[in-house]
Amino acid sequence: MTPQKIFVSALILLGLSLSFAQDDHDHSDHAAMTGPKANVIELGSTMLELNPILLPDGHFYLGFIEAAHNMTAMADHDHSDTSDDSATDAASDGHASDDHADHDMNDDSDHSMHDAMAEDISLTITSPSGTEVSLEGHIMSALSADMGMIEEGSYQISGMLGEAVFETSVAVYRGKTDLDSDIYAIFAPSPSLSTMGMTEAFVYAFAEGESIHAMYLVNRKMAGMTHMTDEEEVELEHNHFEAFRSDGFEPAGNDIPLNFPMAGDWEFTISIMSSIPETASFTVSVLDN
Amino acid sequence: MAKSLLLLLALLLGFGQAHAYLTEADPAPGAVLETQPGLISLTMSEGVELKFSLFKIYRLDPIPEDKKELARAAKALLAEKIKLRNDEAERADTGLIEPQDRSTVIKLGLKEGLEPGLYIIMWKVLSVDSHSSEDFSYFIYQPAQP
Repeated sequence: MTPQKIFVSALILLGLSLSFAQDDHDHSDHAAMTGPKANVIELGSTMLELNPILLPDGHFYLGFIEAAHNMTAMADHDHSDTSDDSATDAASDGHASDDHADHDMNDDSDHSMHDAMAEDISLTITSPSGTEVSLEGHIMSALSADMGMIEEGSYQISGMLGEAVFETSVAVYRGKTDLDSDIYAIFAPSPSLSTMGMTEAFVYAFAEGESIHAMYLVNRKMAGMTHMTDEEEVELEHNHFEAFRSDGFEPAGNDIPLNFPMAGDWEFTISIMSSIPETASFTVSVLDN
Repeated sequence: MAKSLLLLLALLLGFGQAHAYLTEADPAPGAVLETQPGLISLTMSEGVELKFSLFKIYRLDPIPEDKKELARAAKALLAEKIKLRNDEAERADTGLIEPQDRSTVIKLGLKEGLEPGLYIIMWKVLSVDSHSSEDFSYFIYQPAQP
């Protein structure tokens, strides 16, 4: 194993440790939550974690991380894909690119290890405007789907990992704060009663092309209804998606598991905390199926 | 048309981070003061590496008409001034008081005889978890009319 691989593997292990450690946090609003995060798709012994990644320029990726297998193995890069647009470059982080170069030169035994552990995956993602993106290949640790410019609405995802079939969706809301910052609330999966109203809420906010690094609070309530979530302010966890940083981007999201325990329209308010706080509100529709 | 790809994102995993945010300030953000404060105290949500952090106070003139314009002007001022060197003469502060290596509480001295007006307390800090963040607070010094 090259020093680069050791470095990357160590970072992955660290990331996993941090990720699992976050799950142990006892936030009052989701204290009942235990086990996998809401954005994890369980497929037998395999778990796929769905991460929406948004760059400041509006480029949107849906990332899938396989969480149940040996994450220290390096993933196969699908050389059959002919995508050569700039977004491809933007999505390849320096470590991945370095590894890619190394991978091109590595020996057959390394490939054998990959092939033995890889699982076939196929995905079809339909954007809110009806554009379909299809992927086929192997997943070792992670893959991402380049969805182009983000659209507001629901992204429908259907796929097969090995023999397991799955379907899920991601809901995107966007707007502006009262100080004119661009803000996006992305829910994975789209909250519905079929998921007991559970979702992972991702928030991205940008001002003049830069991510806003601040503390984020959200609250949610339903007009005309009294609920335990009323007046509850939840602090989001600030995340960096390291894969993009070496290209000059620093996508910084903020996410937290949330519950919307009733079908209907919820008033969802995000506050970006500063000496002059910014707020934005969305109506989040929770479906009954 | 957007193309899709299978792509290795070995580091796609999100790293939960806690940046250093302002949790308390004296004077409080937006305070209107009739007398000049002796010092400025900022309390951050976590420790910051003071040797790798910057704190400055500048007067902002004219005073913006609303908070939206104030936020825009303060951010622009921060971007312009925070990394300037040898700008002590322009600033309203006298630097850190009792600087340590790491602290959650930051105290800044103020020059005597400040002009009335709006003052922006700006910072760019490196938190102990090695992530940087920047923000500002502000106060208005408005002496009582004799």
